[in-house]
Amino acid sequence: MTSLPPAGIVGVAEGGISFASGKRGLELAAEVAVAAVQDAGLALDDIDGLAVAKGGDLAPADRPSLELAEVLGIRLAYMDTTVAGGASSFIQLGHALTALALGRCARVLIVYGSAQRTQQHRSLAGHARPGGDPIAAAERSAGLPQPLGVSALAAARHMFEFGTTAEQLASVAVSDRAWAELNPAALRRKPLTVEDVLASPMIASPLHRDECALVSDGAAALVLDARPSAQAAVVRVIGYGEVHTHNTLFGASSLTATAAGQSVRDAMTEAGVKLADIDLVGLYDAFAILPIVLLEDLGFCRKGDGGRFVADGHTMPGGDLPMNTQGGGLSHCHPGYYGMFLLVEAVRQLRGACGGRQVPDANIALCHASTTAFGGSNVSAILAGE
Amino acid sequence: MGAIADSTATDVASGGLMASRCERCEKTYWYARPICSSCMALTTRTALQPSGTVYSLTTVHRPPALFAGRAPYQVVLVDCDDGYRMLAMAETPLSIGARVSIRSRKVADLGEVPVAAEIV
Repeated sequence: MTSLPPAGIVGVAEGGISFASGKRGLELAAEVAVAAVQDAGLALDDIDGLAVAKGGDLAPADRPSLELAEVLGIRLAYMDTTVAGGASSFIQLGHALTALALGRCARVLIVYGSAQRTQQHRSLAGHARPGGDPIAAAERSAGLPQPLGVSALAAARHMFEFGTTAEQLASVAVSDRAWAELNPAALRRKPLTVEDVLASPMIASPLHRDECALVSDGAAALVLDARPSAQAAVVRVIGYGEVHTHNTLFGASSLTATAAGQSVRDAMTEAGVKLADIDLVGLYDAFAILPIVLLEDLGFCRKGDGGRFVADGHTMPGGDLPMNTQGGGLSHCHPGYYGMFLLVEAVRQLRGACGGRQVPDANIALCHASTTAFGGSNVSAILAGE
Repeated sequence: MGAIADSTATDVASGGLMASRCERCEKTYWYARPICSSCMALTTRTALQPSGTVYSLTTVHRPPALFAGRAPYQVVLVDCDDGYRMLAMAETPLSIGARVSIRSRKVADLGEVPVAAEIV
């Protein structure tokens, strides 16, 4: 591995987090883009690289990066419109670091925004995918809701193989909520118990409503600078790894293990850190089973013990591995793709700017996005403060 | 949603349980795909009568629009004996590990749907 350039994250922002923003995705994206550039102490003219992903908002023939660039009035030397589910923003971060290292551009703005709730193109029962495609037809043929159904199948198999219990699964939602109570921006903040989670409506067994990501609007963005100014509050991406294995559950070799171990190994090698050095984690949690499997695959506990690890309180406020300190996709927000929100929270924690939910002495954060039919794309990013 | 719902039924109905088989090594793929990723040869379409073992399952309480009004129903992911995985609706409640056969069955308003029945 070559050493990473001194590029750093110098600006972050979130916005439009709501069940009814009443806006379009592009409006939310433009607003949050400006907020992130202002947070960096920069002007729009300083930006010469742009990366934008679209989830459920993506329409045929869309050109998301050009679309936003025109609205922002910026001229680009670099752009990226990679779409790989919730990991998209992570991938765009990794690719932007490469472009910055090569000197192809000076500052990259990475933006995600969606008004999927306002626009009503998504519900827990699934989102619309184009008809006529045999792959989509195969996924739909037996009435499995997408993408929720794949996680339901994964959870049922995890329970079968490892004896994971309904209570352990529910404890992921409880952990997220305990953090959300400390975050004024989270959409769900009422205290939540395991009993509450198990009493919420069953969506697709064994997943209850409270174990499924919120369906919300929201936007988030960050600014990468190849040569941050001395005044900037810089968070550096010291390690990065990505691995892509499949697109649908028909391509998954297992629904109880992901390739997260490979991407995190690459990221840790690049960063020169060990798991024991990690002060907090942001793990993609579209459904409660996913962080359980990721905690195992990343190496924080033995295979099969992820449910017990969360139920034992390690990830809760005060625990030794704070996880999803903004409340995660289950309590904070989930506008289709959640990756950028994991990155923004890590930056804020490493800046020491998280108020009542601040993790003491937070120096190194591991963010991991595992998405697309239970782990088709796995991307790890290790961030460090100054 | 109409067009999407219709196309689902039509796709499944017109394809039945159509898969593809490698012209050289005879590896079978479901869903059908144009090439064999094992030996790089082309594939031909083939009809399936799969049997296999239930890998996992879920009971759907909040169904996609096309299946509205049918919940709750059980969907199983089956490890088929020929080496591919397939989704099917369970004819009767199944357990992980159950041996099943999958057949395409006409379901009112849905067209052909893969249905798994336990082999007893």
